Amino acid sequence: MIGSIQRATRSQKFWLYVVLASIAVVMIYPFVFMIATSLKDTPEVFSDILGLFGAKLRFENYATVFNNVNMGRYMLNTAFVTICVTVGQIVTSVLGGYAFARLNFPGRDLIFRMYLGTIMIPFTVIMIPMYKLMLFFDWIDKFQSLIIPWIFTAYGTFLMKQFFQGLPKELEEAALLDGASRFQILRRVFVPLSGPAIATQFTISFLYAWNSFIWPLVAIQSKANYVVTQGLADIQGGFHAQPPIVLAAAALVILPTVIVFVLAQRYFVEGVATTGLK
Amino acid sequence: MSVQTATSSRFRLFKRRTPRQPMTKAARREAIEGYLFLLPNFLGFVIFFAIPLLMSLYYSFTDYDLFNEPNFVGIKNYQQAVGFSIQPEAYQTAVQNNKSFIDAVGSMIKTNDPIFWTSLGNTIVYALGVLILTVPTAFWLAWLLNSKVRGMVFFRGLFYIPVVAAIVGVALVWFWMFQRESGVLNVVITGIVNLLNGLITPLGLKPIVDPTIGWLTDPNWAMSSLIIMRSWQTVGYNMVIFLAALQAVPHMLFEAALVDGATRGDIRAKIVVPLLTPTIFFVVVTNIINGLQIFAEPYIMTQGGPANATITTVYYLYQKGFQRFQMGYGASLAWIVFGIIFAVTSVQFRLSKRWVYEEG
Repeated sequence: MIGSIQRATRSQKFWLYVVLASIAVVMIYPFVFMIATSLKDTPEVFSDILGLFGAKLRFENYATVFNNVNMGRYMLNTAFVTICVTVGQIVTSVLGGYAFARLNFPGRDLIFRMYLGTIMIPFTVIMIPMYKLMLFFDWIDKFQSLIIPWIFTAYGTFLMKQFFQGLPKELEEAALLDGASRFQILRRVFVPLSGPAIATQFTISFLYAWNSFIWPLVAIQSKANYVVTQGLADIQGGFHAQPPIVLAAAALVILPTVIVFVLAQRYFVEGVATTGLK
Repeated sequence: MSVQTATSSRFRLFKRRTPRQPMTKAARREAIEGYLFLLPNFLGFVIFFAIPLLMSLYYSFTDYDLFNEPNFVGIKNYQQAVGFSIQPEAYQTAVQNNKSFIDAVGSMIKTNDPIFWTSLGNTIVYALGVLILTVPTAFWLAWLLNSKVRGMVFFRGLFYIPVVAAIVGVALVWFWMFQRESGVLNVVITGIVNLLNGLITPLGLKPIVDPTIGWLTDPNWAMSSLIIMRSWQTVGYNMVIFLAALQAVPHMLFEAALVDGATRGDIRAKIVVPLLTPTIFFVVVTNIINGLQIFAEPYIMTQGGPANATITTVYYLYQKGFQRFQMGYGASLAWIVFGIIFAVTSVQFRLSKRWVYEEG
């Protein structure tokens, strides 16, 4: 295979595309299977599992998911939680990242090192006391439990700090001489320049919030407050003999993130790539 | 900043103090502003991270059950989880029952919580399985995508799509693909077997038997199925990291090596892999950390079965802590998982000094 090294000849190009296309089929097939199955009826699924189409496209499966299991409600709940978490994370990490990158204060480096240390500690370690804490605040079974603890992000703060450190110092020195306050500088100079970094942070927060499962499972109990992943696990229990319904629901959970990814691919990939490189 | 410096400084929490000078008015103002900017973030860190972390450590030494006040029980939880006793008489019984030597020795060890050990073994097998399947594949894919040919960004995006999909949704899709009867995988395997039999039976060869694998119902297969699924889901993530690192390798290096008569194999083994060791290191560590936390897949697809073949430590922790409310015990399990993550990471950092290439 040619890979990274040279300009490709015509036949090399041909084989490269053949290999990549075959891998693409493997990577995409489960999604095709999901959509295809979600538009069949149950007997059609079992008689011809590989078939892409049944006798007709049964969009009513999606209607069933909305009407009988209230997926619309779960989606709204999740959207609300996701927006709050995402906006909150961006605000706190821009403020904190700026403080770490550009301001001098005693204890700064110590605090920053503690932040870095937290990235390695898995959530499961604090899950049990977090539950107790939610009981204490009376946030069990409320959206607060899915939002407020998640607004702080060491990882996002780290990302924004790295980005701000790359901006030239002269920017703010000029603004300071003009008598601007730090907050004005952050808002008028830094934030407008940080579009790509904020977009990257957005994609990370968004994925995390929309796809999270174990914590909602613990913190949310009544169906009216379920998030999509919980609703989906619940549907699997109730409709386990009807794969079209289950996979229609799965499609409703999976497609929003895939669509956002297709629209903003660059930022998703950039976030991952920079963490690997730094 | 490289991965190395990020962590070597992590272990050196306290910096040597420089003699403190009285702060100027401007410096004091800056410091106050610094604290104010950091405040929302820092409050979250203290209330929703530092405090729960200390509570968790405390709970792991208590019999906390959510409803009663926790009582301090010392290291009892840890003893219950990892402790074992040796029972010599079991060896005699096993030998009398014509067990093999290894089985007989094994039967002497009586663990206090066999399910914990099963879950730990499963989790480690899972993390290593995903690592072995995805790291070489991801590297190879990145190598291909680094070609100077049109359409590579398109394929990169395509391969990355599984990464952004919710694990719970993906688990359900694969649940139906993994079905023993009429699941996609077995139907395809049956098709291939029939095709091959059609070719070889006329030649007088014995027909191949259709294996009809119980992907999620056969205890020998269930964990492998979860490994296959997660590998499919994360290979794109690792690939993107490798690709970014490959793209950072100056092309001149390749060209110079080619001029000097190096083969492609030489270039890959002697230039690219050494240059990418920090990235490989990063990928290995993050994959292990993520793999050890597996929960949603067994919860959705197998409920830890069949016969505890897919029970994982975090799933066991969830059962103990939130279904049986043995929260003290659950907390100790969480700390054991963290201990393993910490040990793996530290050992990797130690080893990395030997195999990771650092510039300068």
